Amino acid sequence: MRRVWDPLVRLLHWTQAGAVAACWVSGHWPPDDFDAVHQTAGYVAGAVVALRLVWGFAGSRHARFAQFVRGPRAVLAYARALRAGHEPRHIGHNPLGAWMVLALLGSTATLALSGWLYTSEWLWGYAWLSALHAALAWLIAALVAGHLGGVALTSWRHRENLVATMFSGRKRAPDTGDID
Amino acid sequence: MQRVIAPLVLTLAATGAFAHGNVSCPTVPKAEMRPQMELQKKLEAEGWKVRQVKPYNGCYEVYGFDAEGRKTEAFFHPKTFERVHAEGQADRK
Repeated sequence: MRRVWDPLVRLLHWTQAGAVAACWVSGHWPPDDFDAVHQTAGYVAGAVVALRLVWGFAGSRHARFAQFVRGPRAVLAYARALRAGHEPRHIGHNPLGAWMVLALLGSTATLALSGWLYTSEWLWGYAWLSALHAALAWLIAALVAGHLGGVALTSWRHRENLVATMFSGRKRAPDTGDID
Repeated sequence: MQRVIAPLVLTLAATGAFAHGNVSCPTVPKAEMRPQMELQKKLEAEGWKVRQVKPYNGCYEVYGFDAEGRKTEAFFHPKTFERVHAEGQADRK
């Protein structure tokens, strides 16, 4: 076995999963009784993104953006290999997963920011901001669905439980042809 | 699995119903509801800054700043324009 996801990566991941879920539920709950929960969870989500960004530069090897974020050519090559059924196993994030990480971080940051602004005197109460906030929430819902689908697909393709990996931090050691 | 899910959904639905019951206005026939713009004009004449008016649970829900300049989310009866308060809740800031 190989250590892949350091403790902070795992902690931030599951904190974010919990915070986003709490935001989703409390945000769709009528009408304002869960505002405090919603706002607290939103601040947590924003803080997680900020920490993860720092950790993306200062963290352990597989936590660093430089280790896993690849350009469009590499992403396309991986996507083609995936379609053909012979994509290599990545010990860290694969190139498609890497962009999902960035998309989730970016949309969560924007969503948290828009929610905070909605409570500020400056932008309090504007319908357009409320609509934008809701649209971003649906974007994240779609991204989460894609994320879960990607995890399921990759787990199945390489016969390993990636959900368990995000708990234990450990993965099967690389085989020949795997990319570390 | 269903044995777990059904009670869970029921509990959540019940909690939701209570939460929902916090603010509501009696059903007023559409024809008798006064236009939202009228409410906005009235509030603005009283010194409010109105940023959004929308129907909610039979009421008009208003976001903005009240006459004292406080950030306000308030509910009004769509016919009488009387302010409706959430049960057990003081005015929200």
